[in-house]
Amino acid sequence: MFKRMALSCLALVAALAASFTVVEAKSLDDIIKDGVIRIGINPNFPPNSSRGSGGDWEGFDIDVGNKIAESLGVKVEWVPTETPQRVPFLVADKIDISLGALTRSVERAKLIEYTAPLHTEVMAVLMTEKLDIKSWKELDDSKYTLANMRGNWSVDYLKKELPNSKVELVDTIADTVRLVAQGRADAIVENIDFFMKHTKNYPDVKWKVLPEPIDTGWCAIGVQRGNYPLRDLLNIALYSMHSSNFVNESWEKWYGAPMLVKVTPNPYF
Amino acid sequence: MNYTFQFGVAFAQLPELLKGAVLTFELGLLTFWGGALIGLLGASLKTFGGAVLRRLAGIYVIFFTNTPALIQIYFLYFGLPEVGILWDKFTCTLIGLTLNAGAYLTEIMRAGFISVRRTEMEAAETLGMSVWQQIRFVIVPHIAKAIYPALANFFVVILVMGTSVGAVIGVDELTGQAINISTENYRWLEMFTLVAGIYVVLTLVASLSLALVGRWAFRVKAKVF
Repeated sequence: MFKRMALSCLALVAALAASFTVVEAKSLDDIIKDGVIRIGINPNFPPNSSRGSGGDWEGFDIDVGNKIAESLGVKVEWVPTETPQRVPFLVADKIDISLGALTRSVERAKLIEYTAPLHTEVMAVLMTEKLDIKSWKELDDSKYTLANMRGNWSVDYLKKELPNSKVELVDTIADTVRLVAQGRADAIVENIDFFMKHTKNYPDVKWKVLPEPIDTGWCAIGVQRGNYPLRDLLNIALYSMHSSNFVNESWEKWYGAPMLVKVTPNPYF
Repeated sequence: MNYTFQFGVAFAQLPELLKGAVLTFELGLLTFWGGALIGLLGASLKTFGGAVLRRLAGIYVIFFTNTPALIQIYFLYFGLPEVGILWDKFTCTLIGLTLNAGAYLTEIMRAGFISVRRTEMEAAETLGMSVWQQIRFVIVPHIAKAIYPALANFFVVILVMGTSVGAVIGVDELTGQAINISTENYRWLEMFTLVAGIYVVLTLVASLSLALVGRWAFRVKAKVF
Protein backbone atom coordinates (compact mmCIF):
# COMPACT_ATOMS: atom_id res chain seq x y z
CA MET A 1 0.00 0.00 0.00
CA PHE A 2 2.69 2.48 1.00
CA LYS A 3 4.88 1.51 -1.96
CA ARG A 4 1.95 2.27 -4.28
CA MET A 5 1.36 5.58 -2.52
CA ALA A 6 5.04 6.52 -2.70
CA LEU A 7 5.17 5.71 -6.41
CA SER A 8 2.02 7.77 -7.04
CA CYS A 9 3.52 10.74 -5.17
CA LEU A 10 6.76 10.48 -7.13
CA ALA A 11 4.83 10.38 -10.40
CA LEU A 12 2.83 13.46 -9.36
CA VAL A 13 5.97 15.40 -8.38
CA ALA A 14 7.63 14.45 -11.68
CA ALA A 15 4.59 15.61 -13.63
CA LEU A 16 4.48 18.89 -11.71
CA ALA A 17 8.19 19.48 -12.23
CA ALA A 18 7.82 18.88 -15.94
CA SER A 19 4.99 21.41 -16.09
CA PHE A 20 7.07 24.17 -14.49
CA THR A 21 8.28 25.62 -17.78
CA VAL A 22 10.15 28.91 -17.70
CA VAL A 23 7.80 31.72 -18.80
CA GLU A 24 9.86 34.18 -20.79
CA ALA A 25 8.74 37.78 -21.20
CA LYS A 26 7.50 38.97 -24.52
CA SER A 27 10.44 40.75 -26.10
CA LEU A 28 10.32 44.37 -27.26
CA ASP A 29 10.51 43.15 -30.86
CA ASP A 30 7.52 40.85 -30.32
CA ILE A 31 5.50 43.65 -28.75
CA ILE A 32 6.16 45.89 -31.74
CA LYS A 33 5.56 43.05 -34.21
CA ASP A 34 2.24 42.07 -32.55
CA GLY A 35 1.21 45.71 -32.33
CA VAL A 36 -0.05 45.50 -28.73
CA ILE A 37 1.42 46.09 -25.29
CA ARG A 38 -0.22 44.51 -22.22
CA ILE A 39 -0.31 47.05 -19.41
CA GLY A 40 -1.28 46.02 -15.87
CA ILE A 41 -3.48 48.62 -14.17
CA ASN A 42 -5.44 48.58 -10.95
CA PRO A 43 -9.12 48.20 -11.88
CA ASN A 44 -10.50 50.38 -9.07
CA PHE A 45 -7.89 52.97 -8.23
CA PRO A 46 -9.29 56.42 -9.00
CA PRO A 47 -7.82 58.77 -10.07
CA ASN A 48 -4.96 56.56 -11.26
CA SER A 49 -7.13 54.06 -13.14
CA SER A 50 -10.82 53.25 -13.03
CA ARG A 51 -13.80 52.91 -15.35
CA GLY A 52 -15.39 56.20 -16.29
CA SER A 53 -19.13 56.68 -16.56
CA GLY A 54 -18.96 55.53 -20.19
CA GLY A 55 -17.16 52.33 -19.24
CA ASP A 56 -13.76 53.36 -20.68
CA TRP A 57 -10.61 53.32 -18.59
CA GLU A 58 -9.50 56.72 -17.36
CA GLY A 59 -6.89 58.19 -15.05
CA PHE A 60 -3.26 59.16 -14.65
CA ASP A 61 -1.99 55.62 -15.41
CA ILE A 62 -4.20 55.48 -18.50
CA ASP A 63 -2.68 58.71 -19.81
CA VAL A 64 0.84 57.40 -19.16
CA GLY A 65 0.06 54.00 -20.72
CA ASN A 66 -1.39 55.60 -23.83
CA LYS A 67 1.68 57.83 -24.15
CA ILE A 68 3.99 54.80 -23.93
CA ALA A 69 1.97 52.89 -26.52
CA GLU A 70 1.98 55.92 -28.81
CA SER A 71 5.78 56.14 -28.60
CA LEU A 72 6.03 52.43 -29.47
CA GLY A 73 3.44 52.67 -32.22
CA VAL A 74 1.27 49.91 -30.72
CA LYS A 75 -2.20 49.53 -29.18
CA VAL A 76 -2.81 48.95 -25.47
CA GLU A 77 -4.41 45.90 -23.91
CA TRP A 78 -5.37 46.98 -20.38
CA VAL A 79 -5.06 44.07 -17.95
CA PRO A 80 -6.88 44.56 -14.59
CA THR A 81 -4.21 43.83 -11.98
CA GLU A 82 -4.94 44.13 -8.26
CA THR A 83 -2.21 45.33 -5.91
CA PRO A 84 -0.97 41.86 -4.85
CA GLN A 85 -0.95 40.68 -8.48
CA ARG A 86 1.43 43.24 -9.97
CA VAL A 87 4.70 41.36 -9.39
CA PRO A 88 3.27 37.84 -9.94
CA PHE A 89 1.70 38.93 -13.25
CA LEU A 90 5.06 40.26 -14.47
CA VAL A 91 6.85 37.07 -13.41
CA ALA A 92 4.20 34.94 -15.12
CA ASP A 93 4.26 37.07 -18.28
CA LYS A 94 0.58 37.95 -18.00
CA ILE A 95 1.53 41.61 -18.53
CA ASP A 96 4.41 43.34 -20.31
CA ILE A 97 4.59 46.30 -17.93
CA SER A 98 2.99 47.14 -14.60
CA LEU A 99 1.71 50.56 -13.63
CA GLY A 100 -0.54 50.89 -10.55
CA ALA A 101 1.82 52.90 -8.34
CA LEU A 102 4.44 50.14 -8.14
CA THR A 103 6.74 51.49 -5.43
CA ARG A 104 10.38 50.55 -5.71
CA SER A 105 11.48 48.08 -3.09
CA VAL A 106 14.41 45.69 -2.76
CA GLU A 107 12.09 42.70 -2.27
CA ARG A 108 10.34 43.38 -5.55
CA ALA A 109 13.61 44.19 -7.32
CA LYS A 110 14.76 40.64 -6.58
CA LEU A 111 12.10 39.45 -9.01
CA ILE A 112 11.42 42.22 -11.54
CA GLU A 113 13.17 45.13 -13.24
CA TYR A 114 12.27 48.73 -12.45
CA THR A 115 12.51 51.73 -14.72
CA ALA A 116 13.53 55.18 -13.51
CA PRO A 117 10.80 56.75 -11.34
CA LEU A 118 7.48 57.67 -12.90
CA HIS A 119 6.01 59.48 -9.88
CA THR A 120 6.29 59.69 -6.12
CA GLU A 121 3.95 58.99 -3.26
CA VAL A 122 4.06 60.67 0.12
CA MET A 123 2.72 58.77 3.13
CA ALA A 124 0.42 60.36 5.66
CA VAL A 125 -2.36 59.22 8.01
CA LEU A 126 -6.02 58.95 6.99
CA MET A 127 -8.31 58.34 9.96
CA THR A 128 -11.61 59.48 11.46
CA GLU A 129 -12.34 62.02 14.15
CA LYS A 130 -12.80 59.15 16.62
CA LEU A 131 -9.00 59.08 16.87
CA ASP A 132 -7.29 61.77 18.91
CA ILE A 133 -3.62 61.66 17.92
CA LYS A 134 -1.24 64.39 16.81
CA SER A 135 1.55 62.32 15.30
CA TRP A 136 1.69 59.07 13.31
CA LYS A 137 4.13 57.63 15.85
CA GLU A 138 1.33 57.49 18.44
CA LEU A 139 -0.18 54.68 16.35
CA ASP A 140 2.65 52.44 17.58
CA ASP A 141 0.35 50.89 20.16
CA SER A 142 -1.47 47.57 20.22
CA LYS A 143 -4.77 49.35 20.81
CA TYR A 144 -4.66 50.70 17.26
CA THR A 145 -5.42 48.70 14.14
CA LEU A 146 -4.10 49.84 10.77
CA ALA A 147 -5.83 48.95 7.51
CA ASN A 148 -3.64 48.11 4.54
CA MET A 149 -3.54 46.11 1.34
CA ARG A 150 -1.76 42.86 0.75
CA GLY A 151 1.18 43.45 -1.57
CA ASN A 152 1.71 47.07 -0.51
CA TRP A 153 5.35 47.96 0.21
CA SER A 154 4.11 49.91 3.25
CA VAL A 155 3.03 46.69 5.01
CA ASP A 156 6.68 45.82 5.56
CA TYR A 157 7.66 49.45 6.26
CA LEU A 158 5.02 49.80 8.98
CA LYS A 159 6.00 46.47 10.57
CA LYS A 160 9.39 48.08 11.26
CA GLU A 161 8.18 51.63 12.09
CA LEU A 162 5.01 50.77 14.04
CA PRO A 163 5.72 47.25 15.28
CA ASN A 164 3.20 47.36 18.13
CA SER A 165 0.14 48.26 16.09
CA LYS A 166 -2.18 45.58 14.76
CA VAL A 167 -2.78 45.25 11.01
CA GLU A 168 -5.85 44.19 9.02
CA LEU A 169 -4.99 43.25 5.45
CA VAL A 170 -7.46 43.29 2.57
CA ASP A 171 -7.07 43.08 -1.19
CA THR A 172 -8.36 46.35 -2.59
CA ILE A 173 -8.21 50.11 -1.95
CA ALA A 174 -12.00 50.22 -1.57
CA ASP A 175 -11.93 47.51 1.13
CA THR A 176 -9.11 49.32 2.96
CA VAL A 177 -11.22 52.47 3.25
CA ARG A 178 -14.26 50.38 4.18
CA LEU A 179 -12.38 48.85 7.12
CA VAL A 180 -11.85 52.29 8.65
CA ALA A 181 -15.33 53.55 7.74
CA GLN A 182 -16.97 50.54 9.42
CA GLY A 183 -14.76 50.76 12.51
CA ARG A 184 -12.78 47.56 11.98
CA ALA A 185 -9.57 49.58 11.70
CA ASP A 186 -8.50 52.95 13.10
CA ALA A 187 -6.32 54.44 10.38
CA ILE A 188 -4.63 54.02 7.02
CA VAL A 189 -0.96 54.96 6.89
CA GLU A 190 -0.20 55.14 3.20
CA ASN A 191 -0.18 57.54 0.29
CA ILE A 192 -3.59 58.85 1.16
CA ASP A 193 -4.06 60.56 -2.22
CA PHE A 194 -4.84 57.07 -3.51
CA PHE A 195 -7.61 56.56 -0.96
CA MET A 196 -9.41 59.89 -0.85
CA LYS A 197 -11.84 59.21 -3.69
CA HIS A 198 -13.20 56.17 -1.87
CA THR A 199 -13.92 58.17 1.30
CA LYS A 200 -16.70 59.90 -0.66
CA ASN A 201 -18.64 56.62 -0.42
CA TYR A 202 -19.00 57.24 3.32
CA PRO A 203 -20.41 60.77 3.65
CA ASP A 204 -21.54 60.16 7.24
CA VAL A 205 -18.02 59.34 8.41
CA LYS A 206 -16.01 62.31 9.70
CA TRP A 207 -12.68 61.73 7.94
CA LYS A 208 -9.51 63.39 9.16
CA VAL A 209 -6.01 63.59 7.69
CA LEU A 210 -2.82 64.12 9.66
CA PRO A 211 -0.83 66.26 7.22
CA GLU A 212 2.61 65.42 8.65
CA PRO A 213 4.43 63.66 5.73
CA ILE A 214 5.99 60.39 6.85
CA ASP A 215 8.04 59.05 3.97
CA THR A 216 8.39 59.39 0.21
CA GLY A 217 8.08 56.34 -1.98
CA TRP A 218 9.28 56.28 -5.56
CA CYS A 219 6.98 54.55 -8.03
CA ALA A 220 8.30 53.23 -11.29
CA ILE A 221 7.18 50.99 -14.14
CA GLY A 222 7.79 47.29 -13.62
CA VAL A 223 8.95 44.91 -16.36
CA GLN A 224 9.88 41.25 -16.24
CA ARG A 225 13.34 40.33 -15.00
CA GLY A 226 15.90 40.57 -17.76
CA ASN A 227 13.71 42.45 -20.23
CA TYR A 228 16.37 45.13 -20.61
CA PRO A 229 15.48 46.40 -24.12
CA LEU A 230 11.95 47.21 -22.98
CA ARG A 231 13.17 48.75 -19.72
CA ASP A 232 15.72 50.94 -21.52
CA LEU A 233 13.12 52.11 -24.03
CA LEU A 234 10.75 53.00 -21.19
CA ASN A 235 13.50 55.00 -19.48
CA ILE A 236 13.98 57.06 -22.60
CA ALA A 237 10.20 57.52 -22.95
CA LEU A 238 9.99 58.54 -19.28
CA TYR A 239 12.72 61.14 -19.69
CA SER A 240 10.77 62.61 -22.57
CA MET A 241 7.48 62.59 -20.60
CA HIS A 242 9.08 64.24 -17.59
CA SER A 243 11.06 66.88 -19.43
CA SER A 244 8.00 67.89 -21.50
CA ASN A 245 6.07 68.22 -18.19
CA PHE A 246 3.52 65.64 -19.41
CA VAL A 247 3.74 63.64 -16.18
CA ASN A 248 3.27 66.64 -13.88
CA GLU A 249 0.41 68.04 -15.94
CA SER A 250 -1.37 64.70 -16.08
CA TRP A 251 -0.93 64.23 -12.34
CA GLU A 252 -2.34 67.63 -11.56
CA LYS A 253 -5.25 67.06 -13.96
CA TRP A 254 -6.31 63.84 -12.20
CA TYR A 255 -5.31 64.55 -8.60
CA GLY A 256 -6.37 68.18 -8.52
CA ALA A 257 -3.02 69.27 -7.05
CA PRO A 258 0.65 69.07 -8.04
CA MET A 259 2.76 66.08 -7.00
CA LEU A 260 4.16 66.91 -3.55
CA VAL A 261 7.63 65.60 -4.41
CA LYS A 262 8.36 65.90 -8.12
CA VAL A 263 10.58 63.60 -10.14
CA THR A 264 13.60 65.40 -11.64
CA PRO A 265 14.17 64.16 -15.22
CA ASN A 266 17.61 62.67 -15.64
CA PRO A 267 19.00 61.76 -19.08
CA TYR A 268 21.43 59.24 -17.55
CA PHE A 269 20.17 55.91 -16.17
CA MET B 1 14.80 35.84 -18.49
CA ASN B 2 14.01 32.89 -16.22
CA TYR B 3 12.76 32.05 -12.76
CA THR B 4 14.93 30.47 -10.07
CA PHE B 5 13.11 28.48 -7.43
CA GLN B 6 14.04 29.27 -3.86
CA PHE B 7 12.25 26.77 -1.65
CA GLY B 8 14.47 27.75 1.28
CA VAL B 9 12.58 31.05 1.46
CA ALA B 10 9.29 29.17 1.71
CA PHE B 11 10.51 26.62 4.25
CA ALA B 12 11.78 29.47 6.45
CA GLN B 13 8.13 30.47 6.85
CA LEU B 14 7.03 27.01 7.96
CA PRO B 15 6.34 28.03 11.60
CA GLU B 16 3.94 30.77 10.43
CA LEU B 17 2.27 28.40 7.99
CA LEU B 18 1.83 25.77 10.69
CA LYS B 19 0.14 28.39 12.90
CA GLY B 20 -2.23 28.93 10.00
CA ALA B 21 -2.74 25.17 9.67
CA VAL B 22 -3.75 24.98 13.35
CA LEU B 23 -6.31 27.74 12.75
CA THR B 24 -7.55 25.88 9.65
CA PHE B 25 -8.12 22.75 11.73
CA GLU B 26 -9.81 24.74 14.50
CA LEU B 27 -12.11 26.47 12.02
CA GLY B 28 -12.88 23.16 10.33
CA LEU B 29 -13.77 21.42 13.60
CA LEU B 30 -15.93 24.26 14.91
CA THR B 31 -17.68 24.62 11.55
CA PHE B 32 -18.38 20.91 11.33
CA TRP B 33 -19.78 20.52 14.84
CA GLY B 34 -21.82 23.71 14.62
CA GLY B 35 -23.09 22.61 11.22
CA ALA B 36 -23.92 19.15 12.57
CA LEU B 37 -26.09 20.63 15.35
CA ILE B 38 -27.87 22.84 12.83
CA GLY B 39 -28.17 19.85 10.51
CA LEU B 40 -29.78 17.75 13.23
CA LEU B 41 -32.23 20.55 14.02
CA GLY B 42 -32.96 21.18 10.36
CA ALA B 43 -33.50 17.49 9.61
CA SER B 44 -35.82 17.21 12.62
CA LEU B 45 -37.87 20.20 11.52
CA LYS B 46 -38.11 18.92 7.95
CA THR B 47 -39.17 15.46 9.12
CA PHE B 48 -41.35 16.16 12.15
CA GLY B 49 -42.13 19.85 12.00
CA GLY B 50 -45.41 21.47 11.04
CA ALA B 51 -46.00 23.01 7.62
CA VAL B 52 -44.55 26.40 8.56
CA LEU B 53 -41.41 25.01 10.20
CA ARG B 54 -40.84 22.58 7.34
CA ARG B 55 -41.15 25.44 4.85
CA LEU B 56 -38.74 27.65 6.83
CA ALA B 57 -36.18 24.85 7.05
CA GLY B 58 -36.61 24.25 3.32
CA ILE B 59 -35.98 27.93 2.51
CA TYR B 60 -32.87 27.92 4.70
CA VAL B 61 -31.50 24.84 2.88
CA ILE B 62 -32.32 26.18 -0.59
CA PHE B 63 -30.73 29.57 0.14
CA PHE B 64 -27.52 28.30 1.71
CA THR B 65 -26.89 25.45 -0.71
CA ASN B 66 -27.52 27.60 -3.76
CA THR B 67 -25.33 30.56 -2.88
CA PRO B 68 -21.55 30.44 -2.52
CA ALA B 69 -20.11 30.42 1.00
CA LEU B 70 -17.99 33.43 0.00
CA ILE B 71 -21.08 35.54 -0.74
CA GLN B 72 -22.52 34.57 2.65
CA ILE B 73 -19.28 35.54 4.43
CA TYR B 74 -19.05 38.82 2.50
CA PHE B 75 -22.60 39.61 3.58
CA LEU B 76 -21.74 39.04 7.24
CA TYR B 77 -18.39 40.85 7.09
CA PHE B 78 -19.13 43.80 4.80
CA GLY B 79 -22.93 43.98 4.86
CA LEU B 80 -23.91 43.68 8.54
CA PRO B 81 -21.79 46.66 9.72
CA GLU B 82 -24.05 48.86 7.58
CA VAL B 83 -26.84 47.99 10.06
CA GLY B 84 -24.61 48.34 13.10
CA ILE B 85 -23.53 44.70 13.62
CA LEU B 86 -19.74 44.46 13.69
CA TRP B 87 -18.27 40.96 14.05
CA ASP B 88 -14.58 40.20 13.58
CA LYS B 89 -13.36 38.30 10.53
CA PHE B 90 -12.98 34.95 12.31
CA THR B 91 -16.52 35.12 13.70
CA CYS B 92 -17.94 36.08 10.30
CA THR B 93 -16.11 33.21 8.61
CA LEU B 94 -17.17 30.74 11.31
CA ILE B 95 -20.83 31.77 11.24
CA GLY B 96 -20.91 31.87 7.43
CA LEU B 97 -19.30 28.45 7.03
CA THR B 98 -21.40 26.94 9.84
CA LEU B 99 -24.67 28.11 8.30
CA ASN B 100 -23.49 26.84 4.92
CA ALA B 101 -22.42 23.47 6.35
CA GLY B 102 -25.64 23.23 8.35
CA ALA B 103 -27.69 23.38 5.17
CA TYR B 104 -25.79 20.51 3.54
CA LEU B 105 -25.80 18.50 6.77
CA THR B 106 -29.55 19.02 7.11
CA GLU B 107 -30.04 17.14 3.87
CA ILE B 108 -27.49 14.44 4.74
CA MET B 109 -29.17 13.82 8.09
CA ARG B 110 -32.67 14.02 6.66
CA ALA B 111 -31.75 11.23 4.27
CA GLY B 112 -30.71 9.24 7.31
CA PHE B 113 -33.94 10.11 9.18
CA ILE B 114 -36.22 8.85 6.45
CA SER B 115 -34.22 5.64 6.12
CA VAL B 116 -35.37 4.49 9.59
CA ARG B 117 -38.17 1.94 9.25
CA ARG B 118 -41.67 3.23 9.87
CA THR B 119 -42.40 0.32 12.25
CA GLU B 120 -39.56 1.39 14.53
CA MET B 121 -40.90 4.94 14.68
CA GLU B 122 -44.44 3.69 15.37
CA ALA B 123 -43.12 1.46 18.15
CA ALA B 124 -41.30 4.41 19.72
CA GLU B 125 -44.46 6.49 19.46
CA THR B 126 -46.48 3.73 21.04
CA LEU B 127 -44.04 3.65 23.96
CA GLY B 128 -44.83 7.29 24.57
CA MET B 129 -41.50 8.73 23.45
CA SER B 130 -41.48 12.43 22.56
CA VAL B 131 -40.09 13.56 19.19
CA TRP B 132 -36.73 14.43 20.77
CA GLN B 133 -36.55 11.06 22.53
CA GLN B 134 -37.31 9.31 19.24
CA ILE B 135 -34.52 11.24 17.56
CA ARG B 136 -32.07 10.61 20.39
CA PHE B 137 -32.79 6.95 21.18
CA VAL B 138 -34.11 5.54 17.93
CA ILE B 139 -33.06 7.57 14.88
CA VAL B 140 -29.50 8.69 15.72
CA PRO B 141 -28.23 5.27 16.84
CA HIS B 142 -29.75 3.73 13.70
CA ILE B 143 -28.42 6.21 11.19
CA ALA B 144 -25.04 6.97 12.75
CA LYS B 145 -23.27 4.14 10.98
CA ALA B 146 -24.99 4.76 7.64
CA ILE B 147 -24.30 8.51 7.45
CA TYR B 148 -20.86 8.40 9.08
CA PRO B 149 -18.95 8.08 5.76
CA ALA B 150 -20.88 11.01 4.28
CA LEU B 151 -20.21 13.12 7.38
CA ALA B 152 -16.53 12.17 7.39
CA ASN B 153 -16.16 13.12 3.72
CA PHE B 154 -17.97 16.37 4.36
CA PHE B 155 -15.58 17.23 7.18
CA VAL B 156 -12.60 16.81 4.87
CA VAL B 157 -14.28 19.03 2.24
CA ILE B 158 -14.91 21.76 4.85
CA LEU B 159 -11.35 21.46 6.14
CA VAL B 160 -9.70 21.85 2.77
CA MET B 161 -12.07 23.92 0.63
CA GLY B 162 -14.32 25.62 3.13
CA THR B 163 -11.84 27.18 5.51
CA SER B 164 -9.64 28.72 2.79
CA VAL B 165 -12.54 31.00 1.86
CA GLY B 166 -11.75 32.96 5.05
CA ALA B 167 -8.49 34.11 3.44
CA VAL B 168 -10.47 36.51 1.28
CA ILE B 169 -11.42 38.62 4.30
CA GLY B 170 -8.02 38.28 5.93
CA VAL B 171 -8.43 35.32 8.30
CA ASP B 172 -4.89 34.03 8.99
CA GLU B 173 -5.66 30.38 8.38
CA LEU B 174 -3.29 28.38 6.15
CA THR B 175 -4.22 29.95 2.81
CA GLY B 176 -4.47 33.42 4.36
CA GLN B 177 -1.02 33.11 5.92
CA ALA B 178 0.40 31.93 2.61
CA ILE B 179 -1.11 34.88 0.75
CA ASN B 180 0.14 37.40 3.35
CA ILE B 181 3.66 35.97 3.29
CA SER B 182 3.74 35.63 -0.51
CA THR B 183 2.78 39.27 -0.99
CA GLU B 184 5.85 40.19 1.06
CA ASN B 185 8.48 37.73 -0.22
CA TYR B 186 7.00 37.27 -3.73
CA ARG B 187 7.76 33.57 -3.71
CA TRP B 188 4.22 32.51 -4.69
CA LEU B 189 5.17 29.33 -6.50
CA GLU B 190 7.29 28.00 -3.68
CA MET B 191 4.88 29.06 -0.93
CA PHE B 192 1.81 27.52 -2.51
CA THR B 193 3.61 24.31 -3.40
CA LEU B 194 4.48 23.99 0.29
CA VAL B 195 0.92 24.93 1.31
CA ALA B 196 -0.51 22.30 -1.03
CA GLY B 197 1.73 19.75 0.68
CA ILE B 198 0.50 20.86 4.12
CA TYR B 199 -3.14 20.55 2.99
CA VAL B 200 -2.46 17.01 1.74
CA VAL B 201 -0.96 16.11 5.12
CA LEU B 202 -3.94 17.70 6.93
CA THR B 203 -6.48 15.76 4.89
CA LEU B 204 -4.55 12.50 5.26
CA VAL B 205 -4.40 12.95 9.03
CA ALA B 206 -8.11 13.81 9.13
CA SER B 207 -9.07 10.91 6.86
CA LEU B 208 -6.98 8.39 8.82
CA SER B 209 -8.36 9.59 12.16
CA LEU B 210 -11.95 9.42 10.90
CA ALA B 211 -11.37 5.98 9.41
CA LEU B 212 -9.99 4.72 12.73
CA VAL B 213 -12.94 6.23 14.64
CA GLY B 214 -15.32 4.65 12.15
CA ARG B 215 -13.73 1.23 12.57
CA TRP B 216 -13.79 1.48 16.36
CA ALA B 217 -17.28 2.97 16.82
CA PHE B 218 -19.23 1.38 13.99
CA ARG B 219 -17.04 -1.50 12.85
CA VAL B 220 -17.03 0.18 9.43
CA LYS B 221 -14.37 -1.23 7.11
CA ALA B 222 -13.18 2.23 6.13
CA LYS B 223 -10.25 2.44 3.74
CA VAL B 224 -8.17 5.58 3.32
CA PHE B 225 -5.80 4.32 0.60
